[in-house]
Amino acid sequence: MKWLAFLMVLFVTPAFAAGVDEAVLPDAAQEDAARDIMKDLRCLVCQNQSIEESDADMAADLRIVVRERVAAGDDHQDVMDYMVARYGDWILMRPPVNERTWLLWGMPVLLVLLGLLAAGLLMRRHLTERTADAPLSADEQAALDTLLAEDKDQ
Amino acid sequence: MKIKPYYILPIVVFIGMAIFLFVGLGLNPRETAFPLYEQSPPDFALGPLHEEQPGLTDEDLLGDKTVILNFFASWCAPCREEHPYLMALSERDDISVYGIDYREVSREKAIAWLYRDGNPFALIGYDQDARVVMEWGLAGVPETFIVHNGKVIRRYQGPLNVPIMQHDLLPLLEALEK
Repeated sequence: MKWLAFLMVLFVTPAFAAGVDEAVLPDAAQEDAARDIMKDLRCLVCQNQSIEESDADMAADLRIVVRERVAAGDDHQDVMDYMVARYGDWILMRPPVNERTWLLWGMPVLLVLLGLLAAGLLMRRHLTERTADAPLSADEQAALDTLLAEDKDQ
Repeated sequence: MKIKPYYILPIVVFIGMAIFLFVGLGLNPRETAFPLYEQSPPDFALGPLHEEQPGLTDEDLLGDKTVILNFFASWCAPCREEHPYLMALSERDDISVYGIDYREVSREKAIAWLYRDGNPFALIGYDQDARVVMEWGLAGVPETFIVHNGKVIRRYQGPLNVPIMQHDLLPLLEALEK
């Protein structure tokens, strides 16, 4: 059990809550709104994280600005527009559908359609092959007739 | 055996994906959008790094000369890497080299670094809270912008290096001079 305790100690990490080091907004509703916005903004340094999760300095800078703008009365869309104007769509965790991203968003649908098409084609081929089985030859037919007749007699 | 056309479909799809992903490997994920391209520089007014010197405002970028604007910090290792290129650029008469210092642990250290290794910047603005850095859409330091005739025309993310200098920056300055 000693090694288990050792492992447990090893993997204990302090619980970092992003933003605890920063001044949160006094109004809880506004703070919630700001947090929601932060979740939708990509961190510039660690790109798979939102600025809400990131410990990077630049993410902290962005969080301060988000809180400022929310405190000044900006809504979700206003802050997003502000950020996109400076950083482009890149800053959004969920990029909008436009002429550059339709392939990205459409790919799952496209793949499902392709799959359905392939399945449909295979199924059709399967069915037509069944019905198009070659007819029995004269000998085969005679043998079958004999067997069926025997069956009936019993 | 007769090869039916759809037998080679998986291979075609595989090759297509391989090409798609291989091209993706060559892209730089650190490169972000450049909304300032061909736009006027954003409004800003920064205080100086050294108290006795002037700061930097957007007005300074709108003079007759082409401006090289470099975002740096003394704690940033790649900034030191590109420092010799900026020193060389600062010796040219046809351009102005300005700097914006993004957040220092100690301003004295930054000043000492520039004093020791050389200061390529005719003017330096000090951006402690990253507001101006944000206006320019920076993803980190260093970054270098070129402003010509009141428009931002280039952005280099990351340190200046030989390929950038030889194949883009210097030929561009040459072309602008004409």
